[in-house]
Amino acid sequence: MTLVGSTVTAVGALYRRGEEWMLGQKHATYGVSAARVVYGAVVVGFVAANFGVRDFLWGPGSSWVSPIEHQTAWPFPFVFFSSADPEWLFTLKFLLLGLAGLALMLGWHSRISAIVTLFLYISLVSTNPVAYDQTDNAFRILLFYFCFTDLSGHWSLDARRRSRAASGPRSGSGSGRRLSAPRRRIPSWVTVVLHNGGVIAVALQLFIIYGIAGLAKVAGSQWADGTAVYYPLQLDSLNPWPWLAQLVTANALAVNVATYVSVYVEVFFAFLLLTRWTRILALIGIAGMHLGIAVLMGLPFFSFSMMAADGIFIRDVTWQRAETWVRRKAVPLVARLRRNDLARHV
Amino acid sequence: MTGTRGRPAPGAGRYGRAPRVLVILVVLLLGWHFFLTYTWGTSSIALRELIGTNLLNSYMTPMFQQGWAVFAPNPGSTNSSLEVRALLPAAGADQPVATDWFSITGADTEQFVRNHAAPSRMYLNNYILGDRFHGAFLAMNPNVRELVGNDYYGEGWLDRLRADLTKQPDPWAANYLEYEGSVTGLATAIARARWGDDITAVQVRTVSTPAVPFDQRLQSPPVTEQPSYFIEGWRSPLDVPGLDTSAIADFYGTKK
Repeated sequence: MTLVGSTVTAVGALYRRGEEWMLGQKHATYGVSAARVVYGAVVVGFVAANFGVRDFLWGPGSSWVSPIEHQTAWPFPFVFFSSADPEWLFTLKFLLLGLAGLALMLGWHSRISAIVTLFLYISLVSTNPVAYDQTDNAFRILLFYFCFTDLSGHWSLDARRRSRAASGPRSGSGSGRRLSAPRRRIPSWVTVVLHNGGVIAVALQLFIIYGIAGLAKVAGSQWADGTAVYYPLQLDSLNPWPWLAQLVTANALAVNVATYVSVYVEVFFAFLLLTRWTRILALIGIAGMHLGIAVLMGLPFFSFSMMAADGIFIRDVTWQRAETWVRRKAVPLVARLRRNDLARHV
Repeated sequence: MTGTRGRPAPGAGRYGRAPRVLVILVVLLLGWHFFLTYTWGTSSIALRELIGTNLLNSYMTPMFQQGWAVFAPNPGSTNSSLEVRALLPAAGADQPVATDWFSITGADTEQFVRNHAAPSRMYLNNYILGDRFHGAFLAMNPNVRELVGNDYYGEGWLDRLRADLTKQPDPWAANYLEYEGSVTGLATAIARARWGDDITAVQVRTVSTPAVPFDQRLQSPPVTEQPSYFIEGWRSPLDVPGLDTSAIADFYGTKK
């Protein structure tokens, strides 16, 4: 076979493999479902954490933002929240965001919940340019891609409803049948391709985030001398636990290791995913970095949004094993709690 | 990214024309989209010129706008704070007296950051407002900057400041004036919450204090870095129409 012939054959095989990957089945179904749960929880947590300051940041107590509001303001229809709203109406709208997040977390009409959550979240945070951070960019863009995926595959009320509907007319509920009806109208290959396209989009976005963040650090002298992670922990706004920051940064070796690992894991993240053991290293490294950011810098919503998206790189079989382990541990625990509860009421 | 059902059976790669066309369209769309996203993220001039800056901006904003050079090239190593004080009439004196400086961000740190596992966006709001206010000031020409230090009193002072700043062409003056409006509006509400409605003027400053260098972090007694200040002139109170001040009174008022 000539070189040209071999090349054409190899390209053809690669093309068929890619086509099979896109059409054969939905990928990362557990990772996507886990991301849905975490993204919903992030929104619920965001609403809870900001409930006491909502008026000042985005509501009727935020009119002082008006001269600079145009810097991040989105066009119609993302104008749901307004500082001109009366306090009670703004609070209702704010709670609606929390309810949408709760619905997303529980997997109740998952795709609609995801779209509504995305719409409300963008509408809220875009009204104040100085209370806007990278969490908002990561959350918005990644959730947008997740909207194309099958978010309800596992651990969702949608999945339970579908399962009950499929198991027979007695146990099936009406809403479950309604929910599954669109699946029959849209050919399954369309949803499979869109799901897999969404998964690829999440993966590529993560590569861009980590790649650019890592390469941008390479030029910094504090990243080169291994002291960079010390400095953000000296800033009042990123230091919820000064005693912990002091404890962690007292050890020069720990600061050096954390600094270098942060850069290496970000720069090489995409490449480390190529083989199983380096993938495990990459995921542990990036999760460690995010946990550090979450705890030491008080940025859990950013960290969990990123870690949830990273979950698509965990194999479905690993998620299944984890699920089995949790069920094995949780079922006896629940049974024991019920027994104790019954004993108290007798 | 693996599936639940393992490898497909041999020969399972044969699909109809419509699914295959959809795959090609999705792949092309993803390729195009992430080429633009990468170009946006790297700020490569050559790639931007290849695509066209207008096309790139209109495609990426606002939905895909992003910037990931976080803590890069070096993380911020300066603590900045936003502070306000006011002029109050003094009994038996011709001239009003100035209050002590009140650190807005200091109050935020104590109330909303310290000992909070999941801080609200108050960890960000006034710190960023102060940083950008200072940044907007620094972006202007030095001779325009000098005007900001002058006092402006009476009705319509913001319009007079605008007129003065725009006498000399400076593309950044409009940006500064927007921040001046926001910061002074907020400072006025906070000053009223702290010192009452008798205030006759407010003044805002930002304080920048470098973090203790890494190699001096364990020194005893602790190293104290010298702060630097950006102080605007006195301004008559700027009351923001329709502002609900109850939250501001709760967070920054003297009843705290």
